[in-house]
Amino acid sequence: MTARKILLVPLDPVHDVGLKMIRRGLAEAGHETMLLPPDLSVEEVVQEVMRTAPDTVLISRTLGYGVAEVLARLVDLLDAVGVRDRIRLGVGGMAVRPELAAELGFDGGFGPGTTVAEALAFVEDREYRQVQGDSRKEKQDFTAGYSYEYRHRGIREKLAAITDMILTWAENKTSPGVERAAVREELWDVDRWRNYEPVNDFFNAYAGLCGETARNFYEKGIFPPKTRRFTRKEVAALEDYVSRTAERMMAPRLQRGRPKPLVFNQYGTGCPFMDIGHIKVSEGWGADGVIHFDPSWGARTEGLFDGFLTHEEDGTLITPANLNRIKKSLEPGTLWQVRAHRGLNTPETAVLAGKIGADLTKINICYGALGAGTEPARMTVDGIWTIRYAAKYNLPFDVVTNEELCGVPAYKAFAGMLITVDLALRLGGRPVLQPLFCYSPEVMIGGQMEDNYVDFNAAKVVALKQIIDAPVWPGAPVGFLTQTEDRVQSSAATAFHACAAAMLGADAVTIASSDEAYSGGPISVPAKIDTLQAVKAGFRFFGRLELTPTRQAELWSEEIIAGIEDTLARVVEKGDFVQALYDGVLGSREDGAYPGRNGRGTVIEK
Amino acid sequence: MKKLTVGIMGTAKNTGKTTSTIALLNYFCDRAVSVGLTSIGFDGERLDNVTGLPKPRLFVRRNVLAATAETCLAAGSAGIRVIERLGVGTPLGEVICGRVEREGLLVLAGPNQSKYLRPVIDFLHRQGAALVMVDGALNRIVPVVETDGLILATGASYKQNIAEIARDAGHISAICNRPGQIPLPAGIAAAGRTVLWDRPGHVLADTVGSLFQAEDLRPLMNRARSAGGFFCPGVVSPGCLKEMLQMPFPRKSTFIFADPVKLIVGGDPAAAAHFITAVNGRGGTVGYLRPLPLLAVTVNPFYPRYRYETRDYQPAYVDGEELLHRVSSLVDVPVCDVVAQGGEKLSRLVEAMMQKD
Repeated sequence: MTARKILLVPLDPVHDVGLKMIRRGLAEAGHETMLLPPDLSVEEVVQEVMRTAPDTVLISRTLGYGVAEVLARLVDLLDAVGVRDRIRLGVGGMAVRPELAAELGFDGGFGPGTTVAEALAFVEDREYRQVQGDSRKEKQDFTAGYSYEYRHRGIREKLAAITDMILTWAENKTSPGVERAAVREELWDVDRWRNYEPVNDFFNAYAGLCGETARNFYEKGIFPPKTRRFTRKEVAALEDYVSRTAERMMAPRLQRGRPKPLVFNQYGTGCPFMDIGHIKVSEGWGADGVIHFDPSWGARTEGLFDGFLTHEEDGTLITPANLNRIKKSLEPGTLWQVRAHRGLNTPETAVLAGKIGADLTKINICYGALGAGTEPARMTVDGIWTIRYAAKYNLPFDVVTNEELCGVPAYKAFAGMLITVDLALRLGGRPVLQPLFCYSPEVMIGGQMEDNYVDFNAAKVVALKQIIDAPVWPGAPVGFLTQTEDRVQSSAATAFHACAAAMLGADAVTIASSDEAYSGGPISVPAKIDTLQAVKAGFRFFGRLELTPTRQAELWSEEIIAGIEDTLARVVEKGDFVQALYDGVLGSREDGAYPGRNGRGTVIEK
Repeated sequence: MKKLTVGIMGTAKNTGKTTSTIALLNYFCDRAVSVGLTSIGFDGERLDNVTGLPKPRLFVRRNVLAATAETCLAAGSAGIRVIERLGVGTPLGEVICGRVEREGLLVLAGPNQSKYLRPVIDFLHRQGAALVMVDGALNRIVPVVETDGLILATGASYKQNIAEIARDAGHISAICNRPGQIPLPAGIAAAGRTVLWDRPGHVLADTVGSLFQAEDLRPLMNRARSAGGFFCPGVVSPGCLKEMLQMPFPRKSTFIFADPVKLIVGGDPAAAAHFITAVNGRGGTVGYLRPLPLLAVTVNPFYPRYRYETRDYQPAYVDGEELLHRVSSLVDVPVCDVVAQGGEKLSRLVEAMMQKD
C-alpha cells in the first residue's frame, strides 16, 4: 500500500477530537497526516490544500443551518482553483450522512460512530467492509453449558414428587388440543405444504377437532372477526420490502464486550406485514431475538386458522403461512420465539412452531391456568404434551411467571415455574427460568421496592440460582409497571432493568418498546428503537461490571426460597396438582389469581 | 432546435432550484422535447437533509433521460432502464445514465465536480436530449460553468432582508452579463498562472493561479504600470479585486478571467461587480475566456425558520410580491416566482434560447 498524505481540517471552532482519533489510526497505518488548527476560514483551508498538496482532505464540522453552505463553498473553491479532482474529499461530523455528502460535493460523508477503519478505507480508496462479527450474528443456544442440577435438596425432592403426581394423573388423559396437535404432528407435512402440494388428509382430520369458529372457517369459509387474507398486491409488496431490506440489513450487537444477555423484542401488531417491518427494525437496531404475540382470543379458540391472514387488532394469528412468512423474513442470526404458554392451542402451537423452524417457545402450566384463563386440568394435560413436542423439536422454552402481575407473590409464581421446569427436565426439555422484573402488586403492597427497583429483582435471580443451575431470562418485558407514557422515562426504566439483568448474569432479557404500555394500539417503530438504543447505551455504560447483591437482597432471596419450598410442600400435601391450582396453593383468589375456565370439561380419559 | 444545457444554481439551500427544474421539466415534457436531467447535488428527496422540512419531489415522465447515482434508483418510484454506467463515483455510488420507462418519483444525485459534469452532459445530449438541465446544490456554482447558461434561484432562505437579496442578485447579474467573451492574445500561454502582458503582447510578470491575498499580487506590482492586459485563470478574492483597483494599471487595461464563476465564488459579488464597474469607468475592459450568461432569476419567499424551543425548523415567508419587484428592479434578465406565477415565463425563455441560431 502506498503511504498517503492526509490533511485533517477541523472546520469546527472547537471540536477536533474525532479527527485526532482518526489521525492516530491513519498514522499507525503508515500514512502521513497533517492536522490544521481549528477555526480557519474556508479560503485559508483552500490555500493550505494548495500549499501541502495532499492526497486526501478530511473535514470535520458539526452541521447546522448555514454550515452546509460553508462546506459547499469550500468544495466550490477547491473545484475553482483546480485541485478538487486531485484529492479525495471527506466530511465527518454530527448529522453528516452520505446523501448530504453527495449534496455538498464531497466524495464521502461520515456520521457519528465512524470507525478509524472506515476512515482508513476511505483514505486508501477501497471499499469499506465491516468486520464480519459486527454485521453477522450467529444464533446462540443459551441453555448450553447449564447442568440443570438442583442445588437445593428439599426443593428437588418436592418437585420430583409433584412431577410424579402430575404424570400419573395425566397418564390416560387427553384433550381436543392434544388431539389436534397429534394430527398436526402426524398428517401435516411442512415440506409438502411449502411445495404447495395438497394436505387434504390433514384438513379432513383436523376441522372436526376444532371449535365452532375455526370449523366455520374450514367448512364454510367464514373468517374470524376482523381478519382477512392479504391481497396478491400486498404479498408482492411484502416480498419486495423483505428483499430490499435484506440487501441493506446490518445487525449490530447491543452487548459490547459481554457475551450476554441476548436481547429479545416482542412483535404482534395483528398484521404480519407490519410485524415483519417491526422485526426488521428490531434486527437493524440490535435485537438478538423476536417473540411472536398472538391475539388473546386465539387462546380461547379451539383450533388454529390457515392462510396468510391479517388481523385488525393486537396479536398476530398463528397460522402456518403467517409463521412461514415471518420465518422467511428473519435474518439468519435472529432467534425466533413462538409462544405456546397458554390457551387451547398450546401443544399444537409447539408442533407448528417446531415444523416451521422456530428456535424457542414459551410454556408455563401454572401461569396458563391461573393468569391466562385456561382451565387447570386442560392446561396441565396440554402443557405436558407441549413440553414433549418442544423437546422433540429441540425448542428450549422460557417458563414465564406473569401471574405476578395479577398479584401472586414471587415465591408462589416461582414454585409454579419450577414445577413446569422439573416436568420439562423429566420429559427431556430445556427450560429457561423467567423471573419477572417488575413493580408487581406484591412489592407495591409490601414495600420491597420503596427505595429501589434493584434489590428485590436481584433477590429473585439469587434465589433461583441457589435452587438450580439453569439459564435465566428476566422478562417479559423487563420493567413491567415501572414505565410511564413518557418515552424518555420509559426507555430509561427499560434500560436500567436490562442492565440490572446483565449485571446479575442473566442469559437473555425481553424488552418492551417505550410506548408499549400506553400506545393505545400497535406499538410504533420509533418507540421500539428508543428502548433498543437505551439498552445499548446502558450496556455501554456498565460494560462488564457485575452487581453484587446487597444484604437486603440476600435476605429477600432467602425468604423467596423458603416460600417456594413451603408452597411446594403444600402441593405435595394436597396430592393433586390440579386441585392445588384450584385451591390457590400456587396463587389464590385473594392474591389475584383465578383458575381459568376456557376448555372446562374438555379433558377426557383415553 | 439547438441543443442547450442550463444550470440552475441557488444562492443558498431551499431557494427553489428543484421547483424551477420541475417547472421546466413539465413544460418541455408537455411539448415532447427530449429532456436530460442531472444534479450536482442531491435532489428529489422527501425531506431536507439539514432542516428535515418537506422538499419538492421530482416526478419524471416516460422517456426523460437522467444521470444519477445508482443507489438513488431504488429510492424513487420511477422505473429507469440503465443505458450506461458513466464511471463517475459519488458517495451514493456510480453515476448511471438511464431512460425513464415507468413514470414516477426520481432521486437525483449526479456528478459533483466540474471535471465529471461535462462528459455527463455530453452523454445526455448524445442520447438525444435536446435540453439538459443541471440542478444545482445549495450555493454551489462552480460546476455550472459547464453549462450554456444559468438560472439563478434566490430568496429568503439566502437572506431574509429583501433589499440585500435584490442587491446580491443584481451583482451576480452584472458579473455574468456585463463583461463579454475575450480570447487571450496570441502568444499568451497562461499555463495555470496569473499573467500580465504589455501592449505588444509580451509577458511582463506572473504569479499564482488563484489570488486569495494581497501578497499573491506582489510579483505583479512593479510591472502593472506597463501592463496592457491581465489574466487570472483561478479564483480571485474580493480583497485582491480591491487591491487590483489600487494598483497602477493604465486606464484602458483589459482584465480577463476564466469565467464569471471565478469571481462569484470569491464570496462577495458586490466587490466583483464594483470591480467591473470601476474598470469600465476607467475605459478598461473586463472579459471572460468562457462566458456564462445569466438567463433568468427565480425568487422564493420561503425560508426555514429555526425554532430554539423545539430545536427544529418551521416554514416561514417574506413578502413575495415585494421580493419579486425589488429583484426585478436590479437585474437585467427576467425574474419570476415559479410557485406564484407558474413556470411558463421561465420555460418560454429557455425555449426561445433553444430556437436561436
